[in-house]
Amino acid sequence: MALQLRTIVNSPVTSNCHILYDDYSKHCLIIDPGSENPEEILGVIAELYLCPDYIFLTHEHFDHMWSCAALVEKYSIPIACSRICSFDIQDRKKNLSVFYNQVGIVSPPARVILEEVDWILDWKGKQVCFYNSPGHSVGGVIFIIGKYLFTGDTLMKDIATPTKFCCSSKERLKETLAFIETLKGQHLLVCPGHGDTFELDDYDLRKAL
Amino acid sequence: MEELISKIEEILEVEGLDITKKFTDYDEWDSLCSLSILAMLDSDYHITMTGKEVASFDSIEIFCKEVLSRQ
Repeated sequence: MALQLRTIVNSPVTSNCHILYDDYSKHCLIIDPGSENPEEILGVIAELYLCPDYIFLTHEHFDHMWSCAALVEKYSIPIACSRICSFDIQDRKKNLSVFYNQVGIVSPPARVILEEVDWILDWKGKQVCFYNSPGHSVGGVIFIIGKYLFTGDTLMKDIATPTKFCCSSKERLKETLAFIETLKGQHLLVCPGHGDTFELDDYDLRKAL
Repeated sequence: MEELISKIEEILEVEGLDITKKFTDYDEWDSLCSLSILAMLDSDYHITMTGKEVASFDSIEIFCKEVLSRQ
C-alpha cells in the first residue's frame, strides 16, 4: 500500500481537507472536507480515479465538515468521528456555523462512532489509531495512518492552538500536547487543520500554547 | 458587567481590558474572536447578534450595556 496525500485548502474558511489515498488500489479517505462547495474535492477524486471509503473528522467545527452532507449523498460513505463530534456536526450552534453566516449548516450523523470501535479502524489492511484530543474542541481527535499524523486544529505549524470557544480548554490542551510529545521519534508528518504540514520530531510543541 | 468583561478578556486573551475601546481596536481581534463572542452570547446570555453588529459598537462598554439590557 503506497499512501499518497493531496491537500486542498477549503473555502471560504482556509482550513485543510486532506485526501489520503492508495495509489495502487485507488481507495481513499477524505479528512475534514470543510469547503462550502465540494467541487474541488470532487474534482480531485475524479482526476485521480479514487474510490472514497470514509470521511474522517478531526473535530466538529463547520470549517472542517461543511461538505459532509454533499459527500455522503454523492458517495454513500460513512463519517467516522468521536461521539461528541457526531452530535455537534448535526447542530448549527455546536458546529459554530450559525455564528458564521447566520444560517448554519448541518451534517448527517457519523455512522462510525470511534468510542464504539475502541478508537481503532482497519482501512484496507492498514490500522488507523485515533486518540481523543480535547483542548481546541471537546470532540476533537487526532489520528495516525502510516507516517501521517492528522491533528486538525489541535496542532498547527507556528500557531497557538485556539482555545477561545465555549468548549475549549487550555488545560485539556496541555494534556493533549503532552500525549503528542510521546509520539515523537516515529518520524511522523503532521497534517494540520490549517497551514502547512511539518515533521513532528523536531517541532517545539510549546508553540501551541 | 464584570463577568461579561472577564469573558471578553478570555476570548481576546488580554488582561486589563480597556472598555472604552472598540473590539476592532484590539490587534487580537479576528474572525475567531468574533465567532467566540457570538457563541458566548448565545450560550451564556441567550442573545443572538451578528459579527458585524458586535464589531460596530462604539465601545466594548456600550456593547456590554446592550447585552445586559437584553437580559
